[in-house]
Amino acid sequence: MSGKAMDIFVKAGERRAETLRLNHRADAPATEALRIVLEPGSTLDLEELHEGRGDFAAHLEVDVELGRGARMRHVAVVDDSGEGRIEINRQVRLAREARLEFVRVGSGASLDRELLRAGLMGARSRFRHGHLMMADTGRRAELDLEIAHHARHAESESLCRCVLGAESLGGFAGKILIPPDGQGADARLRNDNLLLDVSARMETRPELEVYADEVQCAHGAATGALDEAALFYLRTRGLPPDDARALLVRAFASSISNDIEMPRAQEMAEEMLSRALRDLAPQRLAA
Amino acid sequence: MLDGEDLLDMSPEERACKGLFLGFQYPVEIPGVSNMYLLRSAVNAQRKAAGKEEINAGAFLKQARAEAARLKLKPELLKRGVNEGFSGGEKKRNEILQLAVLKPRLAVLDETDSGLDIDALKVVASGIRALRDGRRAFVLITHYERILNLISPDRVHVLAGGSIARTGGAELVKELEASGYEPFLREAA
Repeated sequence: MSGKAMDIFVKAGERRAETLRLNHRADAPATEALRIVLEPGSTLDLEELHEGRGDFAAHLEVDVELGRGARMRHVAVVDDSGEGRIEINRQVRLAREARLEFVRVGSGASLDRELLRAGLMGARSRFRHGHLMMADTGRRAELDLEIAHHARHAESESLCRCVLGAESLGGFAGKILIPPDGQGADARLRNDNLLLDVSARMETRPELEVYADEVQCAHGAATGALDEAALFYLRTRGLPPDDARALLVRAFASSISNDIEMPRAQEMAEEMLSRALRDLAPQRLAA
Repeated sequence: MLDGEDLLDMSPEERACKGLFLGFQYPVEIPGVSNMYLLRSAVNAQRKAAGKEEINAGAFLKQARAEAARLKLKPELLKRGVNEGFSGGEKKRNEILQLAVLKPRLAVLDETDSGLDIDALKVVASGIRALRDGRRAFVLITHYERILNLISPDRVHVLAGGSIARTGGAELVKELEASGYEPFLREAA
């Protein structure tokens, strides 16, 4: 797929699995569009695998619409060389009782930015979201997220984790919006960040904007260095410091990466994670 | 000193690889690192330092499960994150499980008996006794007599005012129980 639009249309009651491979290259700058429609009662497993090499610039518009009772598991893995720029604008809308599980893992780029707007339009719809950003040396990773509960008794759960190495920058702006018609909402939003170097920087802004009376909402963010007590504990068992550090970073990432169940995405994410750990481990620990 | 080498000059991992095990009073929780993974990584790190090959995964799994069963640790705790959501007793038994799998030359057990109920204390004491085979030494730090009754120490040292105030056999425990620390603190002063 290069510089064009693509549609995935899943008919009512149909069950599908798709893998999309998107290669981004410096000589092929592209704005691409992907439209996904799931008719009522249908199911889709989608792997969206990005590989960027060189000084590329990619822009992807993704529009996802789930009909009544549709189910979708969607994994996006974004593996970039570090020199390119990738921006993904993603809009998702869920009708009544639809379910979407979306996991996104990225290695960072000179700019890796995802704008995600999720609209829970139908009653008892459910959105589960995990986002893992890893970035080191000069890379930048950002997530701009809004989850809007427009119908009664909708549920959302979102966890964004960011691992930042030397001279890297992470950004998280996450909002749960509950208009007056979102009564009975159950919404959780969390952002946790691990700074592996004193020069890493994270900007985080979790927000709640609630106009309904009967809701359960939680939001929070935490940013810090590796747990020194855990590091010491592992070393007392014989693990060298770099191995202990890598193990703790992997553990931090695992709460999201473990949710990737599709084989190609799993393999690609695992390779990316292993490479990131090799690059990140020797860095100076944040004080 | 351990086997003629000064442990104080070493890093924590070097001490471990030389055969020192530290049992923590408050073992840390490490979510995301499975108990079994840590056990195997620790064994392999120590084998690598000794110039040995990695342990066979199947044989190791069997050994770890058997040791866990001996310590009455539920099998599912081996799959869970290190000490994650473990009760106080499970954490201490997990320390003894690591001890049993790593088989160190010297084990320093820091208040391993604190916070244990009677049944858990018996299991922990039995785990320590099983490893008392003349090939390793234990330094058991405690404030209470109970675990010493279950273990029967070879030597008892009373630490007071930052130094060893008195050394003796198991009878010193009885004396300490009867008199409290006051006479030992006076001796140390």
